[in-house]
Amino acid sequence: MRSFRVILIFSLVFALAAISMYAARLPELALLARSGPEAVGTARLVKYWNENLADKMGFRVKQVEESRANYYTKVNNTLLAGAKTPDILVSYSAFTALYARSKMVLDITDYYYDNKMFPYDRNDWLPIAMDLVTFNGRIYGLPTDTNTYLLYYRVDLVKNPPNTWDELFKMAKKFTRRYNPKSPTLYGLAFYGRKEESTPMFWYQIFRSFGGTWWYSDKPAFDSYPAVKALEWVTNVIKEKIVPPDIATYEYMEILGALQTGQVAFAVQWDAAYPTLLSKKQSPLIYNKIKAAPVPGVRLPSGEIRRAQSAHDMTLVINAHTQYPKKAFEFIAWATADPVAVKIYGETGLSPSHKSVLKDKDILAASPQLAVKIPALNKWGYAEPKIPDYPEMKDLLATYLSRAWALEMPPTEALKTANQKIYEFLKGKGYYK
Amino acid sequence: MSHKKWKKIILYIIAIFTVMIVDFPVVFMFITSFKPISQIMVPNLKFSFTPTLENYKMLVTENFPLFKYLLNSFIISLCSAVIAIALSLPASYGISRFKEKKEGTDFWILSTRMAPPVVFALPMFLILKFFNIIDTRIGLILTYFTFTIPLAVWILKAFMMEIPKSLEEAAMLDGATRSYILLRIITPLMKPGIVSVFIIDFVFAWNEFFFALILTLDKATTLTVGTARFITGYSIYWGSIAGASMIAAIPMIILMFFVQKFLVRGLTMGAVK
Amino acid sequence: MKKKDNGWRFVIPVIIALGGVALFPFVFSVYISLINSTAYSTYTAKFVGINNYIALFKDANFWNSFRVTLVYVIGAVSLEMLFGTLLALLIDSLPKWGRVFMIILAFPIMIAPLVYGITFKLMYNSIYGFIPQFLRIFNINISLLSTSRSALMSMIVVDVFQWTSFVFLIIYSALQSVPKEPLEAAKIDGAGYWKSVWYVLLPILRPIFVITLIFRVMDTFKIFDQVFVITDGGPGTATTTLSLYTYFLMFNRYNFGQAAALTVTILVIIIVITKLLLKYFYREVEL
Repeated sequence: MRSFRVILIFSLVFALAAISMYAARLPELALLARSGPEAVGTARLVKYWNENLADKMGFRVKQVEESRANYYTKVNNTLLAGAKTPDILVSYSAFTALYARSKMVLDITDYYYDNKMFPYDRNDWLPIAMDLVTFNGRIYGLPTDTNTYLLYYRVDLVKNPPNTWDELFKMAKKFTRRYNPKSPTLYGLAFYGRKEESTPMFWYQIFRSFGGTWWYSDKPAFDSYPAVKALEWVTNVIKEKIVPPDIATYEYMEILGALQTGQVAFAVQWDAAYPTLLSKKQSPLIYNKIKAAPVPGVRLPSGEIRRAQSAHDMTLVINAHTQYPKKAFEFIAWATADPVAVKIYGETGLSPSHKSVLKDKDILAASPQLAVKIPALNKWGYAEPKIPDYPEMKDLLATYLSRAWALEMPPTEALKTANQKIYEFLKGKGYYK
Repeated sequence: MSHKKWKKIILYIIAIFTVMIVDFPVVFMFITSFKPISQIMVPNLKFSFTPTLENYKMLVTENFPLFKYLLNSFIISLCSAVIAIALSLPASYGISRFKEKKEGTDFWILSTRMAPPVVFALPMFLILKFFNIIDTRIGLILTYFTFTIPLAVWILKAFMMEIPKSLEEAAMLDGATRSYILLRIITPLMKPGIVSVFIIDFVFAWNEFFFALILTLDKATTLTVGTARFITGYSIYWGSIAGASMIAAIPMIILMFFVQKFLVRGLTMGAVK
Repeated sequence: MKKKDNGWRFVIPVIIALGGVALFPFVFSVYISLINSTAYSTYTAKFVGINNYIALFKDANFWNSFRVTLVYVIGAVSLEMLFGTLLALLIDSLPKWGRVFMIILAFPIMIAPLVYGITFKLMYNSIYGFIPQFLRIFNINISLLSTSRSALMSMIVVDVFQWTSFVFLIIYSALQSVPKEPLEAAKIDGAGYWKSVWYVLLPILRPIFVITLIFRVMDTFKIFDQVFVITDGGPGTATTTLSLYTYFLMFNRYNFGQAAALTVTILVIIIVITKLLLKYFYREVEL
């Protein structure tokens, strides 16, 4: 009988110890990030949080990375299937309206305007950054960085960057070996061409600076005169062979590679490439010969240059099915808006969506793109059309743009078909009665 | 005699030449894995470079739990291949020896492998969520049945047809049961088939990407999904991807050296016929 | 005497295992293909009958993908079967070192298709890729991914480079297990090597040959990883295969109804093709 009691006591103690240990262990939120520089940035934030703030705030965060290949497939599949984890996801702002409509992601508006939950400066955001995560006045995520395109050019070849698309065309032609055997570069220019979201976003900038708008009354206006002119500019560049022949497969890597190998004089590329291009280790051939400017525009009769800068946010969003919505918000608020977090993130070579970063020398040294892009974004930045069906619309447009890029379809026909398809699609969704 | 010798030498030369062509991309990857990052994308055909281990060093950082990935991949591939064969061997025997009403069954087994996984990923996620086995090895092993089993059943079935029926009939007359025949007579003769099915199923499971991406998060991540993490938002670490693939190939090569000895030529089937 | 053994007990375990994992996704896909499901109405959508199928068949992009996939499958599979079989015969006729060659020749399938695609992406680039630069030595200035035709060809080349090994591996192990006597007998009868292979060996290998063919057709029909990383279906729509198009419908356009309809359609197409292949080429040999 005695031994029975001993066993009983032992097991009770063991159970209690186990329970108390379990209770002492903080809950852990999972953060899904896309591998790359942003993930390095968020990993540093997570590390800082776990070392300095986790005990005070009562939870830890664990980062899980996934590759760029299929990243949004993974994110959206997880959200659609209603999984509880990951609690926090890195996503991007083109999904804002879709998230709002589908309720896959938590509406954080109330938390955001609660001073206890969000004790940070709400006026320090770049205006466009918050605009991108807002749909019908509700907020669906907080921006970690706001990105746009820049025109990269070789300072050893040209003193001043071209200001208009026509100037760019002429200068790029001069640095194409086909037309100028003495040209140090093989091709004049490189830009996006692969059938993915960056290609329409690149083209929008030509389209908008030529005076295009998304809607004609309430119908899509992708077959308007400015649109045709903008696409003709692209196909002319391709026909004249100023760009590499496989331009229709070009994305971030290829454009970066073309610049790094010193084989192109100009490139329109995301701003995030700037630190890589200036690094002696990663770009030994051109690191001291490269500079960035706002993307070209169109000279108006007044002499002013009208430009357009596509913008999108990398955002932290909260899974609508998470068990810890408040904790998740506390983390994303801290990670995107707390000055300490902004500094940690900015010094990784990323560009936090805050005005104040322009005053911080350390961040500016790590992320030189900020000095060019923040003024450009403030002046010329714009958001993509905000409707829940935008991702589908963009994919339709991208399909036909890509066909024009590949010279499979003339610009007028491509845009007409795309616009017709988009119109029918929106009609099918009940946009027009 | 010398004519025959020349023929042999020519055969070997052709064989070596084809090996060089077939394995060229693999060799290219092998070389790339030792190139410094700055010399991978070069606009001229430069063959000289200083070999470096920096790509492999990126595989052993705390961000990249290589051994966890390797272990996951190994357990998942091994289990899905072995269980698939264990289930498929009797099935292929049943189908090839008892024809009645099984034409539909074997075709249905085949058809589970046919559809592209893109749309199936979502319902698969829902089932695994229902049984609470998201992000577990067992979940992936079960999922991989959809392509390991059809291959195993059909290839084993084809191999089984090469085995003379007279063998079985003789054993039946001696009073052996079907199960005994399958285990003691058929299986030993099927070794080459089993080995090649094992290799191929193992390799398919090892290299599978789409389901592994969708159905795992952290605990059961396989090496293929892990390797893909070097395709980052802003650059592709060609060297590290190549390096990880070289490491991934090592267990398979070892495995093949282990199992190749079972590819014994026919066990002289003619003799028993 | 016990009752007649119908052999089901050998087959039931597989049916249970596969039924557990393969039946629900299929039923689910058929269901989704009949409702107008999107990202914001996944489970609450309306029943629309076969409207998704009609919309799909009316779409020129679907027919384009169908054509691309057919070209891809026919091109890749015929080359793989040819090269794989020749390779197997070659290695099988070596008196020594055959299995060492086998292991070395199996290297390509040990690399994940995704990674293989990435390697070719690096090799194909017109500025720093190995292949265009190599061709430039012989003054051949072509860009592999720039035109519709060359891009599709380049994709087929990637597939052939990787999966010839698969065909080789199966045919080779089949050659290892077939009785060699008929071949020897034919040789003694004075038939040449190729003649005896054609008339004696191939008929024995026929089932395994056809099954290998079917598996290659099935796998190339759902080709995804390599094309996804190298061209993402471009330039234009030149390499948008059916499974890539499914992917776009599903994850770029959130048109789940049509994506599921396309999946079911693909399944039907492959079933028809497989049935035809089995019917006209598959003969069970009795030994």
